Amino acid sequence: MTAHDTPTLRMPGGGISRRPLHLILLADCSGGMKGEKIQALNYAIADMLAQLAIWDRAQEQAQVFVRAVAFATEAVWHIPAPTPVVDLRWRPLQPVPRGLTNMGTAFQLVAEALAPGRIERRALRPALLLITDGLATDPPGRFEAGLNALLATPAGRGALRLSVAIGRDARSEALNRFIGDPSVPVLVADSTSDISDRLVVASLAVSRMSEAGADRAALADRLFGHGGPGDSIFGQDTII
Amino acid sequence: MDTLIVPGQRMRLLGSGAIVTVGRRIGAGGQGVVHVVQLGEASFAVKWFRPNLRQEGFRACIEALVRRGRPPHEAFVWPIDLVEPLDAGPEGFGYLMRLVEPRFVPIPQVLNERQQPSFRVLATIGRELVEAMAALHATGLCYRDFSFGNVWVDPATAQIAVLDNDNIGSEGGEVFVKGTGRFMAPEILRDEALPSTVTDLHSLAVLLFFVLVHGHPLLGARVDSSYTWEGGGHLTELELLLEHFGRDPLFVFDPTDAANRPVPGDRMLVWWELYPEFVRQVFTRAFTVGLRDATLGGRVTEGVWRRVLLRLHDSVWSCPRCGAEVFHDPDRRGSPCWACRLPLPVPPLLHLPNGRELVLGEGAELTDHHLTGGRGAPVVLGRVEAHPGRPGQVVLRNVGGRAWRVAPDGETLKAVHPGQRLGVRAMSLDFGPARAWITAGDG
Ligand SMILES: [Zn+2]
Repeated sequence: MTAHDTPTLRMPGGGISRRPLHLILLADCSGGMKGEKIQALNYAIADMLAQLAIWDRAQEQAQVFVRAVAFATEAVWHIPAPTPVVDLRWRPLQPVPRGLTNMGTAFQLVAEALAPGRIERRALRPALLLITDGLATDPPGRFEAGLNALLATPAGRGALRLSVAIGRDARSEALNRFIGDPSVPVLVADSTSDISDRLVVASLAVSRMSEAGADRAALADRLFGHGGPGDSIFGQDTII
Repeated sequence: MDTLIVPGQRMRLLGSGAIVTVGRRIGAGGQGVVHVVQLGEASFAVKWFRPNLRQEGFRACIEALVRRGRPPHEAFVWPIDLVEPLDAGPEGFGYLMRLVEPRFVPIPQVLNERQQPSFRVLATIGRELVEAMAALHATGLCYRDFSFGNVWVDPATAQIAVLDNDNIGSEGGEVFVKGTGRFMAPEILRDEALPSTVTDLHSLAVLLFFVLVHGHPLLGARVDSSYTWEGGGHLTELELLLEHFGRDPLFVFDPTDAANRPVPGDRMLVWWELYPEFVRQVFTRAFTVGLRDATLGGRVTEGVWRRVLLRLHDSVWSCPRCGAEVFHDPDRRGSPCWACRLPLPVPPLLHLPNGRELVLGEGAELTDHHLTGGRGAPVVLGRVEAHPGRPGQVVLRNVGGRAWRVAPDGETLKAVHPGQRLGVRAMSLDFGPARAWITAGDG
């Protein structure tokens, strides 16, 4: 890396000791996603992961681990093992011909991964990102059953849940139910910077106490509430 | 009216009257934005603040920094002049500063690299942090928000750049920022104090611990066990911050209370072990007495850190068995190499005036600072190189401008002229400004 180093230099390595931040992507691969939509999805994920990797390397608080579920009629793990975001190369997803958009089965799979004991105590609140055109086609009751299973796990309940709508005709009713917080808007695929910023801000104890003497509760709301304007983690008023 | 500046706008420097043209945006945050600006051929940066309630006081503080002129240390990206829009422009205000070159990157990025910097570079980064803070504090100012967000480093030279100088002020002056959680002194988190030189010293100790030990000095098993996904789920991160860094902080290597040791597998366990005792002692003081005694006497001051980090830099060599980079620890003879676990022999040592010792390991440099003390950029006088004919042995090359006189044990007086190499063995040396001696070690 620098003139001081020789290739043979043996060092302890391992980087900074950081808390895990699990990001699980739930990607819609239904038949309806074919063409431009699946391209938009793959682009949004790859771009967001690249930005997260830059952020991951540059700070000392969190190490981002990524998993991904691909769902259509069934849900399968696309990236089953938590993979450090800096090591990840996104393999583009393909739509499943005639595949339905059964979100409940994807929620079930994630609920299993977030079951008690499956996630480190020291992990930061996980982030779940649902990327879809929003048209859930679950059989009656299955969407709710999956979502309830997810919310029954403490980590799933505590998780930051965001969704990205693909396509102009995206419907947001299912997405809003997944997010579970009316103050959090459904994001759109061309705002990948916004997505990675939100993930990072909401998952971390970003604790720059700007106003001396500010009311703690108000501060907590600002720091840990969802979103909020101008919370760019890349900023923190440093020069990029 | 818009509150931010945009490319193409022209602005006037209040002090000099010169006109700058706004270029691309290079940073953004809650307070405002940072843009490149052109002043003739030269590029600078402008930080522009959105209008806010306490703007007048804030602006006055920055004006006071501008009036001071030169920064106390070259690392500071100091406010050079205030700026205002030339024509009808945005409300708010801003200041001009130098543009930080792209060679500077966040410190964690350097520590997180797979090929991480050598021990000498780590020690130098730490010392550069200390020198910058020492210079600031010596002028009666404090920084107030010392954190990895604000200190960047050039990994090739270990030079640092301290950003966000707008919170710098004199103690007791108006305070607009309380700091960044993990780096804040406990008394600030408990609302018992405002940022000051004394609280800067805590932040400095945390930064140095991160640089050398690769973790946070208060994040161990006890903090870990307070996280839970059961019941109500995670306590808010703010609650955890106040509890573990404010109300009841406990050092991960506290000598009398092991409750908060790093969790198994934490890299801090490896790093802590490989430092000499004199480094571990000063960290222990910083995070035991220094946590509780929020005074200049209780905290570790820059002068102490400077000595420790210089000595650490002088202690680097490599394991003669496996080649791993190691530190010589005079207080722990025969301690094992962190890599191959075999006991480390005593290295050849150059004993210098004022009790300093330079380990004569490959790559070590003898400077004028070693001989006569002094600050500023060191002048290299001697460099340790591998012995060309005897594997495992080293020579000291005279790279300065004057001859040395040496008296190896049992041999006659010899001269080592500039450019010549001296086989390292037991001897007395006369460098001119100072005398020294070498002990051969038992490797
Ligand atoms: Zn070894």
